[in-house]
Amino acid sequence: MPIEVINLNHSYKEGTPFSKQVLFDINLSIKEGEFVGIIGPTRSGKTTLAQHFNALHIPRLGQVLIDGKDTKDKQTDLVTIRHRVGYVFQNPDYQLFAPTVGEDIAFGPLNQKLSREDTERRVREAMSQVGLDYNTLHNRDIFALSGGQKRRAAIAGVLACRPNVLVLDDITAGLDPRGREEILTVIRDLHHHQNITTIFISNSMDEVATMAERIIVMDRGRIIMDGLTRQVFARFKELQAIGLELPEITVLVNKLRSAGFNLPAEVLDVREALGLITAALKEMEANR
Amino acid sequence: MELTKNITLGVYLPGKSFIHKLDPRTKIIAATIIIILLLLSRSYAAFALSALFIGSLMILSGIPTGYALRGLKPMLPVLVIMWIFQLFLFKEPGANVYFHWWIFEATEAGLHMGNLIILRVLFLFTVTTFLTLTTSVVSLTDGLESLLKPLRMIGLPSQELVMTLVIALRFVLILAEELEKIIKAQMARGVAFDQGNFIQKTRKIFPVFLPLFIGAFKRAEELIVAMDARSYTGGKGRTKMKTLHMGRVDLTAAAGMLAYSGLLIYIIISTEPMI
Repeated sequence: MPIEVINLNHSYKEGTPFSKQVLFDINLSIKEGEFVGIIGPTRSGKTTLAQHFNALHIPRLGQVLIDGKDTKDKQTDLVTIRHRVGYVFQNPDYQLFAPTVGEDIAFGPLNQKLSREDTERRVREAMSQVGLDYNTLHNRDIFALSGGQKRRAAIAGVLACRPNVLVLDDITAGLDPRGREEILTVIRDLHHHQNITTIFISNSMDEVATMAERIIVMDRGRIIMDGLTRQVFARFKELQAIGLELPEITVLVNKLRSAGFNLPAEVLDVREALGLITAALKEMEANR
Repeated sequence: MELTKNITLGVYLPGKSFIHKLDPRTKIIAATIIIILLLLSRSYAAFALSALFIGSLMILSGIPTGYALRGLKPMLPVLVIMWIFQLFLFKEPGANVYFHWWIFEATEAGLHMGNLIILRVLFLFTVTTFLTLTTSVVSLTDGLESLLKPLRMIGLPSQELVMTLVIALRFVLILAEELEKIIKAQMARGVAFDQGNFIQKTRKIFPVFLPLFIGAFKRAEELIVAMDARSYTGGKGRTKMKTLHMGRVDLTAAAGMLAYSGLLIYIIISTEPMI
């Protein structure tokens, strides 16, 4: 399901003295099956932009086309759009509202008017996809879950709707490294096996670098870069200037570079760096 | 989806006007007097005078009138229903009957009663909103506390009372934000809050309340922890960082209030009540 954004502007609290414009002339298009990362410092408008993708925000100025349908158009069925574009909120507490895990995950399928049995099946499936054990957890009180389990439950609640597009709003915040890696693996698998269009919002460059094929960089409500991951990271000086932290491995490689190692500037992956550094060392050894 | 946009009660709009500079005690006393006089008003002339007075205060304060009245928008359906009830169900023997059907009777007395109630609600809401729009929470607390201090002698925990009141005021906005989040979360998974007619929309609101109340309790608990962490033990032995001072502006305000009150009381006594 392609997404097209044309000249989008957005203000909060419009018509009040507190009115504040948060998006300025946004233009972008996301093709079916793409994996796009959106990065930017806090308050750069990432969440506001992403909430236009599933029609939680309707543009007043500009247009958002989901699968060719204008969300502003009265004829457009917004409910269908919201089922097909799944949105995982920044904070699972914003998203989970039912008393138990099972009920919360079943909320979407039940709204799609699925039968009890089908819903049950979807809940089981979604829970196993995110690595939550159905038998022990589906009756568990939401508040009794750990932070990591809440994240998973929130993702499961969205997956149970069987979306074609997945919007993930900073879903690894507050997770420990292992929990983070597990969640990211789930997301990668979904994208590879089911070809789900994925929009991954984060302010961690480390994550985006290893996940996304294409990166959109936002700053103060504007898109300032949009391109392939490597191309974007090659402009690391600009990224640092708006307050983004480069991936740790990129920082290390650049330090080595300035110390005289023969290495490229835009290395994003630890394994790749390992190979390059070993090669560089060997080369230096040979020259000696 | 933006619910907080229409909430003006409890919101403070910083400014540098004459009204903003007044001592909070002056504003609280003035608002109380205006409210009491409004409850005594029963004629259109009296309401007209109050409208004039409050309107000019609003212009003086620099607060956009449209914004100050925006908070009334969500209340509109309730007000209309109230008005209709009064119109058809308020009865007075010998009143002019406009319309009659089954047990319903629209009388002249009902019309005036409806108008009176609507006017009162509108004015009460506007005056309190205006007070919070021009007074920050901190000075509102200080002012109320200072005014209620004498009641400590008869054992009234004034500081705690004011704290409760201020927290309640803050929670109006917090609850609206919480509500917005829950509605968004449910919308994202297929509830069409923004589609359907009035009744359909109203029915969808009910499943929102349970999580809202749970969320409110959670927030309250967090607040308790935050207050405990900063050693809040109630009003005893608390000192103030800022002390309140009345100045010349307050004197001017008192003179203005005196003129308004005198004129309004004269109108209340001399004019024919609407009902």
